[in-house]
Amino acid sequence: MVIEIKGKVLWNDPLSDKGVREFEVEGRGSGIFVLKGPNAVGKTTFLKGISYALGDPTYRDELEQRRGCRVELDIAVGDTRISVVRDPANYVLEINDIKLENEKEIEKTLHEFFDVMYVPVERLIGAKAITKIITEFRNTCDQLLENIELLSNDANEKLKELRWYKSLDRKIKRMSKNLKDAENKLHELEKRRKSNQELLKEFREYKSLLEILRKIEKWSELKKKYVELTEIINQKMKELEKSKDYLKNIMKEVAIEVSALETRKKNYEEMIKETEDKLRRVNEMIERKILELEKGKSAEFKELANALRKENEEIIERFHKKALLVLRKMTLSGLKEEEEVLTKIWEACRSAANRSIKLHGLGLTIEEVALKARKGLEEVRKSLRDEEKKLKEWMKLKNESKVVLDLLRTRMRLLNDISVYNKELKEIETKLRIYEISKIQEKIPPDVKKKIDDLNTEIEKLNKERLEISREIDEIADLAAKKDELLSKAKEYEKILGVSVDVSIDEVDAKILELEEEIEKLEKEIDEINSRVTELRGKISSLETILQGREKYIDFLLKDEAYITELQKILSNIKDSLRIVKAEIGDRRSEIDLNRIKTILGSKELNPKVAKVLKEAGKLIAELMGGIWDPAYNWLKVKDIDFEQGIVILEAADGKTMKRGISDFSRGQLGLASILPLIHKPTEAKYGKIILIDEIGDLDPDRRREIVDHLKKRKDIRDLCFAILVLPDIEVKMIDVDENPDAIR
Amino acid sequence: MEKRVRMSDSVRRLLRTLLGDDLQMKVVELILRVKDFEDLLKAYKAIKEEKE
Repeated sequence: MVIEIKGKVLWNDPLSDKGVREFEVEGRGSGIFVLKGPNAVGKTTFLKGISYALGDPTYRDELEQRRGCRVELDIAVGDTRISVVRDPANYVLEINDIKLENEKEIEKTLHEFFDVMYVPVERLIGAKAITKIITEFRNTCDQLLENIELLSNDANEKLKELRWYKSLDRKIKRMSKNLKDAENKLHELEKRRKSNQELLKEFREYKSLLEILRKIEKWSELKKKYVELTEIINQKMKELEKSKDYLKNIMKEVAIEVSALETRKKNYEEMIKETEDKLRRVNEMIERKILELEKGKSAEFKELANALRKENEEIIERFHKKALLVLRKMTLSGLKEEEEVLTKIWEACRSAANRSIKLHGLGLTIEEVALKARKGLEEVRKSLRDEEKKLKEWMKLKNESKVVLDLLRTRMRLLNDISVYNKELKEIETKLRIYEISKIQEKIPPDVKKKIDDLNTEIEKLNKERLEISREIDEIADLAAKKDELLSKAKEYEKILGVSVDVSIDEVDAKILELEEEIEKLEKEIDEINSRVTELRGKISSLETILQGREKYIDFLLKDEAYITELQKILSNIKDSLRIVKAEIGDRRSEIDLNRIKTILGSKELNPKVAKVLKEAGKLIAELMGGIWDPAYNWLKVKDIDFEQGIVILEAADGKTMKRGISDFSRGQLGLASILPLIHKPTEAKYGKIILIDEIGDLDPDRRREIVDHLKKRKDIRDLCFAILVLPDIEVKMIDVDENPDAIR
Repeated sequence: MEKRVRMSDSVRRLLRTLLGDDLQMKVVELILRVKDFEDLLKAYKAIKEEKE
């Protein structure tokens, strides 16, 4: 008969992405299947799910309450198609289109159809499970303690962070409250300041109004005063004019005298100018003369030039006198007579017919005389020429020295004139100056000058005063026109400000001062509060900056605070219980064997919790073993395990009890022995037994094959509907062993 | 906390006996599977909310 199985199991897993996990597999074959797949994929859950769906109550609590399981199972046994859907809220069974929804009815039907047995992994290891389970339990406790330590630290960190946040939050709230109070106070003070400023403004306006009204009252007085002032000014002006006239007369006299002196001064200035021109011309002539003389051939001219340059009048005069003397001594006339005689002699000789006649007394011929005369004539003429040349030079020297002397004397004279004129001019100027100062001072009486000055100052002052009064009068004139309007305005102010009609400006001033002081006080207070507000804002902002970026995390923590605290408490309780286990059973470093368990149980001070756990362990292992297959007694039920004595208490079908030492059971024997009773257990179910064996990989391949053989025997006698044996593998699949015998390896 | 521990039904039963409390037991189950406290908190909340 062909068996088809298709199953899907879904269960809640808060740690998975979707919060739900599922395992789905299908198989078809003669009925002995091997379910393969990786660890933790859901194979065990699937097996438990089949037993749950088919009405086995063993794992109902676990699957429903702890894991919220939903199982969808379709089984085809020949022509019969059975479909089951079961979860905590629903249980639906369909058999060949007949639908059942009543739980009890479904369970009853399914029990009639199948005998379901789930064989947990521990069962396979039999009595060795004692130490294995206790060791596993202790190791799990150890691992739990380690994990709890880490988790508690994490939880503590979170709670610490929460406490820190709360304290910070409280601080911020407190500061925010203080800030709000300060801002309210600030607002109130600013309001008061504003109202006082407005009142002050009104008082000031009222004061100026009062001042205007008082001024208007003084208007006629001012006008009278203006007239009086004008009269006084006029009077003073007259006095001033009089004094000025007197002064003018004195000035006139002085002016005449000064004018005469100035005319003289002018004359002298012109004379000086003319003389200086002359002197300049003379100087130019002297310069020209010096150059001319320096060009002369004789040394005398050069000496004369030198004397002129040095302005040495004495040397020049000596030259002049010397020239006169030389000229006086010159004998030109004697030479001229000698020339005349010699000329006559020569001409007489030349005119002689016979010039060879020797002249008596002379002993010379006429020719010889003529020759001598001619020679003498030449000598005389030469001497005459020399003398004339000398005469001419001395004449020139005489004349030049005379000219030079005249020039020097003219220059001296001119210089002397200039000096005299300058002296005169200086005297006139001194006189003028002295005259202007002394005469005026002499002539102007000091009291007149002072009077004029005083009058000027006084008039200026009075004019100023009058101008002010005039302005005031003009100003008041405009205001006076509005007197009625101003009066009614003043009345309004009096009403608003609550002052009496006859209030004085001094009283208003006092009120203004009072308001100003109050405003100043308020401003001081506002400044203080403002700096407090700024300080608080800064502090709050810096605290908020600390919290910035953590809000989301803090919100999350705050939201979960109750859960965190609760969980922390639970972790602490679990930790306390686990620590007891660790104290009594030891940690992972210590070995657990039956002797150790015996010692633990024998301890007088054994913690009741641990004692309870160990007792439960005994029960558990007895249950797991369930029974053993014994060739003599067939099926023997394991009643209990006494760890202290190290025995297994067995019960035969006839009620006979017997004891076996725990150590008598080998793992393989125990494994087989504990499973075979289930396989061979007789059943009255319509379709037979469904045997689900978890982790058969714990047994060696021979034992696995032995189990498959036993299953096949049951299949042959139609006692077995189907069996699923779990083996680890990398891929999920369900293989029929008949078709693939190697699948069991 | 990288290490996740698988717990057998027997150990589960012994632990249940030791703790004597379903909620603690559920937490223990989670402790062996979670990555960190936040993971645990998330799962715990799911349990509590489911219960409510």
